[in-house]
Amino acid sequence: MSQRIVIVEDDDDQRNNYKDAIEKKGYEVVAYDSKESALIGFEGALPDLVVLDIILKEETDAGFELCRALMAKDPTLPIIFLTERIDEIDKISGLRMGAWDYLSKPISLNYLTVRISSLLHINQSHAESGDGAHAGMASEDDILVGELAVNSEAMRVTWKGQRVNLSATELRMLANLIEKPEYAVSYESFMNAAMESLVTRNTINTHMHNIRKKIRRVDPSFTCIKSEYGYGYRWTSES
Amino acid sequence: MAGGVTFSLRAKISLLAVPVLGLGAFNLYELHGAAQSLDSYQRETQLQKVRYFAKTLSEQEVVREALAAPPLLLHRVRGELLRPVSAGRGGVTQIAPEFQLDGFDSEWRPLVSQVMRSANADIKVFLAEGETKLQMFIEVRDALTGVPPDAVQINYYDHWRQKYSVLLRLKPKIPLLQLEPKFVGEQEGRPVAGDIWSAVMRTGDAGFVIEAEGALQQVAATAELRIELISGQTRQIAFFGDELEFGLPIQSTANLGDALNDLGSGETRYWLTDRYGHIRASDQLTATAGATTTKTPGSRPLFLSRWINGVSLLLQRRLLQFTAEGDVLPHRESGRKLLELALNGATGAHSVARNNETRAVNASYPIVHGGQTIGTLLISDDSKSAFGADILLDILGPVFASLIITLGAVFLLLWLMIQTIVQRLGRLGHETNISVARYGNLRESYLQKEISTGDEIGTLVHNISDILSWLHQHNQFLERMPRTLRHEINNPLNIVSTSLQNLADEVPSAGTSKYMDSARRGVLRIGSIVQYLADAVSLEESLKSADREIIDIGSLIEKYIANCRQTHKGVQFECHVPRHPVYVEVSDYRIEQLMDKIIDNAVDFQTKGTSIRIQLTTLRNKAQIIVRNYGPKLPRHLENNLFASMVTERPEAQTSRLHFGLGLYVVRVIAEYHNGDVRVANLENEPGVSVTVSLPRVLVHKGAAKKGA
Repeated sequence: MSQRIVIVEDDDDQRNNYKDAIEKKGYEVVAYDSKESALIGFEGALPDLVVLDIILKEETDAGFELCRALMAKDPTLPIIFLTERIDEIDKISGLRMGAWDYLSKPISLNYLTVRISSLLHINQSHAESGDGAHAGMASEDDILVGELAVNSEAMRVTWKGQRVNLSATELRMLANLIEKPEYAVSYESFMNAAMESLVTRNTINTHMHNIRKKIRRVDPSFTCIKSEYGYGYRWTSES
Repeated sequence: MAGGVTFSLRAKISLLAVPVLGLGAFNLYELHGAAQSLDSYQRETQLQKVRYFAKTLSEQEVVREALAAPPLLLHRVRGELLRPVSAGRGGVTQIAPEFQLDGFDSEWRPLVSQVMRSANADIKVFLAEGETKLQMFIEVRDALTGVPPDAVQINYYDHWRQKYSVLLRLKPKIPLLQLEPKFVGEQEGRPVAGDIWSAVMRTGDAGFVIEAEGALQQVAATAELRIELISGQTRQIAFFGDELEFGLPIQSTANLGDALNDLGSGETRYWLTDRYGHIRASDQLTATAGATTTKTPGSRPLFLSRWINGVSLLLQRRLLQFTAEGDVLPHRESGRKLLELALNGATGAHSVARNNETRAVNASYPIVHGGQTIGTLLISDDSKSAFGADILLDILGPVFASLIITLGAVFLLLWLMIQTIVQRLGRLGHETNISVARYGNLRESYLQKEISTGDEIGTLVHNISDILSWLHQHNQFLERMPRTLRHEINNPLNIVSTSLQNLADEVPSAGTSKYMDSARRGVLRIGSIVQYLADAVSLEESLKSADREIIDIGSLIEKYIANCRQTHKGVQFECHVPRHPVYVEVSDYRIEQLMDKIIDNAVDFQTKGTSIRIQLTTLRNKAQIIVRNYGPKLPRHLENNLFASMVTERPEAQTSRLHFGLGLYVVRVIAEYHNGDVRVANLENEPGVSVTVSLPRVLVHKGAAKKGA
């Protein structure tokens, strides 16, 4: 039985394009064009993953309201925000509500389908392994660099054994950075890793800045991410 | 604005004073000319009058006889205290021709004496004059005479007037006599004026008498008679009047007085002299006594009236330039000169001032009979009823004075009003200035001061406030525009992008088409434009959440330039940073963003083959990052708005990268966020541009800062 994906997007063209692309990957897709129709649809069985736009018709925060309603029903439900609202405050709000990822338009359909597939896989793994996803313990699938453990499949990052909550994009960037520890990684490399259709240096700097801040919350002495000014970043074990 | 001298509103108003004062000066000049003409006319009129009167007098037999007769010994004392007691006109009494200096009053008895009382004495004074002599007889009855009731000894010094002196002084301070009797009975006084004056003093029980005679020529035309009695250590001054007029017999016969009175006008004063210059007749006792008129201020306020009168008098003096003289007839200097002229057969006329206020016109004319000058006639006219310069000035003077004061007051009020307006406009300008920040950002969306006033300035403030409000709304619209655009463009852009991807999936041949590539590039380009605009506009907001840390900016720049050498192949970079750390408190990736923009500009505008020089210098409190490139100079028209958004001088299609004129705007915003600033200037001696970013230094202890993150 194919997994069921719900798309909530008020624009017909975009909704149909998403639907077509995702269906081609073998998923069952149900699409809604408004908050009200989506809420009615969610009254039955919940889907395996939900893709939400934030602005629906005249309602500027409809996506957030839907997210809140879905989290109330099932906190483990993978939710992806796909929106043109890319201000930092919106990203933070969306992720704090429990969304698994926050993607901006214009989107690469390949990236979208890969993210859907990845998150479904992660969710399935979580279901099979109980609450392992929320534990700080490393597993054999983790990439270990010094005190850092990154599991891209499980979307899990730990520093010195403590869980660090990164967004999917941040996790991808960190994973890209530690592929070659002690080597400088260029901005272009990060842009490719982000897999978003439009990534600027400023976007990467913002992501790296957020990664540093989040790790420093569990370890204020963290200094392993070094700026290679004018080029990119470097992971170093030097403190 | 074209070059040239500009004046402030205050200066322009002040310049208005020039034509106003010029007009006043011109009017005064014209008035001066008119007054001079009238004065000349009045002198001529006076001459005609005196000529006529002199001719009339010369035709009268009685006048001719009177003038031919020898002068009589007469006396006259002028002044309140010594006014003759006799009611006769001029106090005229004839003295016996045989005068003897003997201390007895026999020849003085027919005369009417002047009597006055001082604190300790009753004093009689007789004065008389002949052709060359002046005689006086003074009788003093004082309380110091006699034997005091409590005296125990009556001896040689039986008079308490043990030591006293009588000092007669005549102007100008000529001491005539000083009598210091050693004992009672000594009669001879000691004349101090040599043998010119002689005197005899007699003392008695009730006082003493002095009879004296001296040269008339020693006495001025007017003189003061002072008798000082000095007794013991006490000095008493018996003061006998303010002025005496010598050489001025009033009238030899009643006929001359009658002749003068027949001349007519009570406003004109006359003096008739003989051929020796002695005044033989005058009308002065009946002329102007008590005739002084008092100007009434009318309805003018007292303060204003004083001002107007003062200015008017000042104008009269300046306009006519007459000589101020005392109230001495016939005006001492003027009368003497006119008398000399007339005695020599000539005529003359003068304008003189009397009592520093009123003006008089004097004239003289010889009285000729049988081909000989037998006398002169002097007249003095201070009539205000006659038409003349005084009348003109009396009328126009206050008018002009009022005009000048009014003009001054109006100008002062105007100046104060303009000053108030200038101050209000200044406040408005100041508030408007501080409402708009540099580069056009609004700090306030409305004005607060002067907004409540209902006049034109208040309306102007309302209008400017409305404009600020509209501008604020417009700025908000512009600031929201990129986000709105991003929202409105990203959705259709996403449609295009996802449609292209589905198309490529559905039609594999289309996916490899060059047109598909072009479409993808176009989508990417549009997305970049929107993203860059949104990033730039939200920069200030996103900077608020940026974390700062203290880093060595020298290390950051060294690393940055080292990486630039890798990313900008073929571009030469010179990097000079101090060997010692230079600490600043910054958000490092924002400084990197700042450097990105500056280096991008330097690379784009550099002349091929030249190097880009990056230098970090330190001043006392700040660090300066200076980036120089050699290439085209900065156009002048960009100097003031180079740091505003959407400003670019980059030629079209110069590079393949996107340029929206946001680079230096981003540099400025980041520099200002770090409490620094940025300046762009052309190189002085060679073509090229330098960009200088100043950041405040932080003094830290060793090891307390990061080494360039």
